[in-house]
Amino acid sequence: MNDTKYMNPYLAGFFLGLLLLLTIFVTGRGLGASGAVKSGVVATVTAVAPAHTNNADFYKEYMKEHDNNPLMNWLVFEVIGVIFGAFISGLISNRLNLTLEHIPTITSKTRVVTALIGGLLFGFGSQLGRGCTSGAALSGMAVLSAGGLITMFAIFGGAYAFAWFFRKLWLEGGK
Amino acid sequence: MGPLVPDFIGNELNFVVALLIGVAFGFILEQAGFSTSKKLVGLFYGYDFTVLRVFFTAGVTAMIGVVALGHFGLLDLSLIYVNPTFLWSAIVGGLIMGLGFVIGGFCPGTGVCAAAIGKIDAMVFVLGGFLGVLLFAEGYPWLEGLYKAENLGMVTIYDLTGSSQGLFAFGMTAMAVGAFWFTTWVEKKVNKAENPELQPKKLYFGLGITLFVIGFLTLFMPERREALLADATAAAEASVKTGAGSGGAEVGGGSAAGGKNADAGTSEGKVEVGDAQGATAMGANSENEGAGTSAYDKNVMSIDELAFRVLDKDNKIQIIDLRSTEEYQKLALPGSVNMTFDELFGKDAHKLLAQKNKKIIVVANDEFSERKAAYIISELGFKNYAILEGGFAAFTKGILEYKSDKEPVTRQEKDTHRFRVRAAKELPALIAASKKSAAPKKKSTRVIGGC
Repeated sequence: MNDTKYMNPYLAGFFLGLLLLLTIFVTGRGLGASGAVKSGVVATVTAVAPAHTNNADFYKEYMKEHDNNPLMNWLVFEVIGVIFGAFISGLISNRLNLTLEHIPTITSKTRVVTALIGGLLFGFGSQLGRGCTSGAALSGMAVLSAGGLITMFAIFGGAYAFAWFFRKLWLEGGK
Repeated sequence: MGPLVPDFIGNELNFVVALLIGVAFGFILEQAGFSTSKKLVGLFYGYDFTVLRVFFTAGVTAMIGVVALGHFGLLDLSLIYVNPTFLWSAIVGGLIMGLGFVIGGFCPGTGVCAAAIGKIDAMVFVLGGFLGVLLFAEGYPWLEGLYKAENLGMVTIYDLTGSSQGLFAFGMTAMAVGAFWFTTWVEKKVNKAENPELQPKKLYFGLGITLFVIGFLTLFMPERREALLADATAAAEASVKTGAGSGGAEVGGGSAAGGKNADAGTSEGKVEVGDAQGATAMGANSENEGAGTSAYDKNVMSIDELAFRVLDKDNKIQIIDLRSTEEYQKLALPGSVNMTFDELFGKDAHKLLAQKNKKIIVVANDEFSERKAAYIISELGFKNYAILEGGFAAFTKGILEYKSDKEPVTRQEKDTHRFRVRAAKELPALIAASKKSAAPKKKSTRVIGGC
């Protein structure tokens, strides 16, 4: 399938910025993503091992903040919206298809394993850093939060620092 | 005034808003090309800087917007969520995320977005994200120390460094523009070709001009709060000057029983009868009498009227007390709300001031401060207000600690005397009672956000 054209990055950024501004003006908070994953984890663990959530501090704190209903969370609704929005966009731009994307010089298995490890690290880091690229870095930059900006520089700085070691995953021939 | 949650938009509706915002968020991310890991990690290898362009354009746009809305008094910046700063967890967490980024090729938001259009690697990434959070949750007892170390609170970078918001916004914008220019140059070198996605150039011009104009206006137009505070002083000075020759509403010494002025004030026929009914009539009179002097003097309430209304538990007034917190805690009129000048511009004050059928009574130690506050309130668009004649100092001396130092002669003087003696006895008791039953101060708190 041919790659359909993406939006001009600056225009897309401008729209994204306006959306973030609108979000802050209406709700007082920014955008996010990893928080929904956290809600999902807490909800799952609560359903599977209810006794456990009563013991561990992490779950207890979270349940207390959410009136014992971890899925009644703003970000859960937002991320459900993201799934719809991205799907609609993919539909319009003819980009819907089930694929495992990777460069030809690595195997599908490698890609699956690295995606899993990468996701695991990102999930873990987002909890420690209190937010991911959207919740901490982007939304933090909009309100000039000190923590958000530090996290932003750490994410991008870290990625640049580690990029060389993983070049074979992304560059053909690993040049 | 923003944020609209929770007053204009309730908590349930907010979930619908979240869903709609999410749809727009996902749509924009996908349109920008964030649904493919090849594009996402491109910036770390120099062949595609889309992520950096989108990310920084969005950040700068929203940041300038937030600064501008706050600057013009449209958004209460003290209520919006500012990600809390825990120094070590922010750095270590960020580095781990960076590592996850170059290994996994996504971040959580873009991963969800890519999974939605069928990228299997993204679905696996999101699954990994679940496991990562689970790992953190299970390891929380060991990680809590690092997680909660160096808590600097919900601090902004400009407060932390003691710099100005505008300066930082300018610096960030300059940095972003520099990065755009530099990365385009790098990208051209690496790919040995111009990026066709960066056309048309006219667009940059348009976007740049828009942001520049907003930024320029924000930097060079006076901040609403500061401008009003400065004007308020001048306006208060002017109003005192014009008021000086006008007699009736002029307060001067402000001490009701002692000072000559106040005697003149009461004997001028404002106080008809000392009983309850009379005090109201007197209040009405004092409002009319000031007419023809300056706009402010129409809005002066005598200490007797205020005392009467408080004793009467009049629910048609809302007292805003601008004295210090210590003074307020020591002695507060029932139903009054303590506030600083700065807080007058906030959303809480807005709610108080906007109450229908309630007259705002501005109380401060001296009448000059009250006039300043009255100017601000009036400029904010609220006209149903009055200031307390002579300030709280006069009220204390003339009502709460009333002592007659000379025999009342005329009928009015006798009535005033009788009322004040009663007020001096009943008011302190009322104040003490209300202090006991007073609900703890309710203040709008910051929105809780974050991931």
